[in-house]
Amino acid sequence: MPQPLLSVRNLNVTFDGPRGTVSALRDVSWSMGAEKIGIVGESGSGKTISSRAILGLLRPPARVEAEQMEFDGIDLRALGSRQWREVRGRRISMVMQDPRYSLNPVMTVGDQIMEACRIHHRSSRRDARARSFEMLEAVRIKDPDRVFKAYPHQISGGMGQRVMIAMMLIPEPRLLIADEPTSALDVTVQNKILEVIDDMVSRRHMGLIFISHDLDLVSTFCDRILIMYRGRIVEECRADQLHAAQHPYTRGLLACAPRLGERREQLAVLDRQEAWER
Amino acid sequence: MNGNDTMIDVAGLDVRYGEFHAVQDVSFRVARGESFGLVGESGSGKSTVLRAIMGLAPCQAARLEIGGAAVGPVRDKAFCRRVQMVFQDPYGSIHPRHPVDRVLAEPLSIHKLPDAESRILQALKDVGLGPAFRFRFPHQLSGGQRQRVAIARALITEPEVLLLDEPTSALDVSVQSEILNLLDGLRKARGLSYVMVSHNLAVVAHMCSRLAVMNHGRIVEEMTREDLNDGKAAQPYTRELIAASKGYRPAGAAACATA
Amino acid sequence: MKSWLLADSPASRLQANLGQLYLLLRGFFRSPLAVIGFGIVCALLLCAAFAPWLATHDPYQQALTHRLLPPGAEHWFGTDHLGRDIWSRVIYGSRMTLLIIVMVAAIVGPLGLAIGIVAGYVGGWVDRVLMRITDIFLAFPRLVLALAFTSVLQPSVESAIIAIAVTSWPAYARLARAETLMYRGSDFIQAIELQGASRLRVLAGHITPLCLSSVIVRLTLDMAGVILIAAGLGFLGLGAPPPQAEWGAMIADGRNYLIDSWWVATIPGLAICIVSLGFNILGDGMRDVLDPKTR
Repeated sequence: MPQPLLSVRNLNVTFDGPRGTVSALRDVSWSMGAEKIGIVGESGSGKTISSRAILGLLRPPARVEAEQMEFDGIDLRALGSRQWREVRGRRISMVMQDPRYSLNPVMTVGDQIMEACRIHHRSSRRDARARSFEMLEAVRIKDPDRVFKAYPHQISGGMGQRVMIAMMLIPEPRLLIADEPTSALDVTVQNKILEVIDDMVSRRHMGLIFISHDLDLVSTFCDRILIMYRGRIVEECRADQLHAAQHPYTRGLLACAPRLGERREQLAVLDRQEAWER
Repeated sequence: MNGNDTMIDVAGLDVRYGEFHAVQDVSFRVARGESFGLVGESGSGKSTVLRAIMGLAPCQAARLEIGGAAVGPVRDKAFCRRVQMVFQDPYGSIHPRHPVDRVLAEPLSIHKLPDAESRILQALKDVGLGPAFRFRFPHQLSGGQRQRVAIARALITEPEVLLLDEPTSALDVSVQSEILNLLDGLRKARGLSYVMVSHNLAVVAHMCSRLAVMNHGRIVEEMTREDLNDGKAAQPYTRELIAASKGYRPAGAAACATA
Repeated sequence: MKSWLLADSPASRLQANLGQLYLLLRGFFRSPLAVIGFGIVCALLLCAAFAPWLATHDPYQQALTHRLLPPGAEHWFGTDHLGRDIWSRVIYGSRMTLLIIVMVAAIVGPLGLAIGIVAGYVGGWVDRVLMRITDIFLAFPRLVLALAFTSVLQPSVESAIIAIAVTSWPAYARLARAETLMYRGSDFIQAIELQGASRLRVLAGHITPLCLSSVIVRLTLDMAGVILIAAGLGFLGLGAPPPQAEWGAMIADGRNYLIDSWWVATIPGLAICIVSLGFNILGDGMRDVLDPKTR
């Protein structure tokens, strides 16, 4: 059994709020290799906090505790800020939801990608430029010259996401975290972006954590799915086994979404149980 | 469809913002008690159509009638009582400094409707919120609860038409099903007519008996729910939209699907 | 009581509003600096209200045999060049300061707010006209305007107040207009317009509450400046005429004796300083609590 790429055991995140201690994540554990894992949950499920915890982005007043949090042989719990700079963005990368907010609005696309090249590979301007164009073509941008010189507000959402993906993959990370990468995009563009992600991840034998609220989308895209509810993982299953899910929350979530082709008088409603939180 | 039964009649609707032609020659009819869907991606003009009907966007139309009566250039109070709108963002559609009670009392005050007390309590009950919510502020409510308040506000003057602009897009899927059930139930119980805008084909297929697909400001195709569920689309854009709504298909599979 | 205020489901508008007020105050009093600012402003109010009881002597009573006495047991802050007790004059001077602040705030706040929200909401030529009027008033320098007023009228508190108010309101109009522009297109404003609300209803009931916090914070912070300007006018003899106890005028009186009898000018100067600082800190504290961005 090969060494897992990422191994998390009993990750707990708590905050001190005005009304006492709030537990954002409780005993979250999973491990993964070079595969596509989907983390699905609604708002407040803790799916985004999990990714922030892995990237060491949770600062006090958040308290992060884990029995194990190991990535590619590195213990993530023990890293200082200098060591985090080696890992974050370099070995683990993240693509976020809306390129309008994650791209720098006052720099051209080309400048931003080149900056990523120069930081991570210390390349010269000429090399960085060549690499940038390579990456833009790898993410299937048909007009790399125009995009290179454009500002973020001059390119479409789908294009912006491709640029984000290109930038995030320049340092050749082993793990990519994609936090709702297609939620802000039109549905006809979504598929193309997912193709790009799929292509890049499989070609480079990377691991992918795909965070989403859309269970159906994740089940068609990922290999394995983790379903989260209120800070806990309530179910873990293979994507093709989703229809046979056991946990009532998963079944409830599957039942209450409307689907094309299914005709129902009323949509099923989720009956939240206290028991699911334990 | 019997002419007397037509609640909303739009023909040749045009909306221009300076040079930009947001909506071009849009026509559709909605019968009384029916739910009509407008589907499209961002920039298709679907929300603009709703705003044009409400008078929030500069428009010209060959015909714009509600309940058989032509709509004047300025939307008067009588119109506002008959036609109401529910907005997409539950966090932005309620005044942050007003408690729920005030939000519901204001329309009654504007239209000088009596029995405010009982109407407010009834409205809260109709949307599934008890009297306990009456004096809460919006920041004390969840997204789903706020949307219920927005629906209560829209219905408190007993309108006949409800324009719904992506009412559940910002909500979790489990909350969405509750709100959609609520909207459907209200429509059937009160004989309301809906025009529902959404980018989500599945939601529209569930809620609307007929729908129109919009792209770049025009209606590309009009179809029934049955056609949509069976995947029987005449136009290539509609077929693309339906295929894209079914989740991720890797390149090889996609090529086969459109063949 | 506390649980009644913090109840999850208030039973009346009064309970809901009081509950929110309680949370606001609680947040405000968490900051030690804000408490200090509040304390200073309260002290000002108390001095003004209870001046007759707090003062040890008649502020206008001259005693030429007791000129320029240093601070001591009999006269806590000493006496000025006419033998008047400085402590009492400072206490009574707080009334003048308070009068000026309250009158300026009462004129400037509502006026600026009203003009700003109308300009921002109605837009078009109304906006342009109102903003040009605002620009005209912004162009007047305060002291020059005060000089102009007092050359026409007698030097008095009223002319000082008018001069300050007339040159202060434009800032509030601009602030209110900016806030209105921000909120004008939001869904909740459109929703109430779609209900058939009149412009007046929207402006008074919906836009004003949103702009109020910024205006109140700005007013409080500006009061610090107003005190200094009023003192400046008083120093130049453009404020209340003698023998009124006014802090700026007291500094002017003490100017000639600064080296030997420092207390005549310095004590009122300190009073101005402390009160000005108090309003500044109070304004900061209020901004931390009322600013929607931090809520």
